[in-house]
Amino acid sequence: MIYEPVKIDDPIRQGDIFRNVPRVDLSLADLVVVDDDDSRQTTWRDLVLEGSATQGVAAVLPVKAVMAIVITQDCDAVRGKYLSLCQMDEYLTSIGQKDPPKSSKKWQSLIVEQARTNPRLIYFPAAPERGINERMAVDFRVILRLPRTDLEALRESRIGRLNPIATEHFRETLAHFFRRYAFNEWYPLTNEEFEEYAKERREMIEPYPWQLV
Amino acid sequence: MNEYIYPSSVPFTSDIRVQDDIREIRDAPALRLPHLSPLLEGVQSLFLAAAAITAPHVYIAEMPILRRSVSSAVIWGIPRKGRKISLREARQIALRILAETERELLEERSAEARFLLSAWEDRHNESQ
Repeated sequence: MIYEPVKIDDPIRQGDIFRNVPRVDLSLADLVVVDDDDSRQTTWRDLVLEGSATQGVAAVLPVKAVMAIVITQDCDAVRGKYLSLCQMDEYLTSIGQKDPPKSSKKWQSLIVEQARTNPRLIYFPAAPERGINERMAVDFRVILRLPRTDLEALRESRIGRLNPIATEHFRETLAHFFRRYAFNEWYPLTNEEFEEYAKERREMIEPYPWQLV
Repeated sequence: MNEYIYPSSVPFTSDIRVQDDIREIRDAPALRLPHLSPLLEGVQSLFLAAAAITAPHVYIAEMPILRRSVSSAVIWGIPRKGRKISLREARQIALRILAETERELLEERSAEARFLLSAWEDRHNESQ
């Protein structure tokens, strides 16, 4: 499919897929820090107020192994001290769908529709021969940062890399996601259109002055 | 020295300068006060005790170094907030945060995917 094999000693590149990448989770409101002799449950705010945060503290944090893809571009991946990766998860789970489509027609419809509407995710097909047993999605909002040398030491966990065509699409989708900026999509609607739009939104939205006339 | 000090098991110690700093701190001899008369020693102790009790806030820039100096008693004057917990409780909290993160991540992704797709489906339904 869209993956290609990679030699164990090849340098890390954008689009390389790793398994068993550690993801550390953090809650600022519920933090366990280890002092000299014991541990205490506190908050990041309190650590800041007491002055410990600026010195650095030791904390107990959960770590989970996930599949992830390198998003750092190739030049930075060669020399940067840290690399960034995005987490990959099963596709259907990522879009909140329990039952898989029953035909190829419905599968392609789902994949294309999601690709057109959801910039946060990018779809990758399954490749059991590479250890990718399910259809996957990369989530651009879940970014993992790891020291490059540590990731290089984990090269046996690299299960493949995107082929050139897939790499082009991946980097364009990645760039598009971070290039976006927020705007209120209702700004050009007429008064009547705005009212209909506002009915469908859960959150409160305010009309622009030209939508009040 | 402005780098944070991390334990050796943490990858940040691949920074050689930090390793050197740790070695420097570890090998540094403890600071000793010059010999004082008993009266002056008493005054010194009273002064340190008064400082420790009355200081409302102390900024400690270099904790590892100060632990080897006469100022170390002042460090314990820093009020630390939080509830003491056991290692078992710490583990449970960490696992709970992991589970919450997983759940919230999936919920958020699903909600977003459904929301974005709903406009598409509306258009499909109306066109049929």
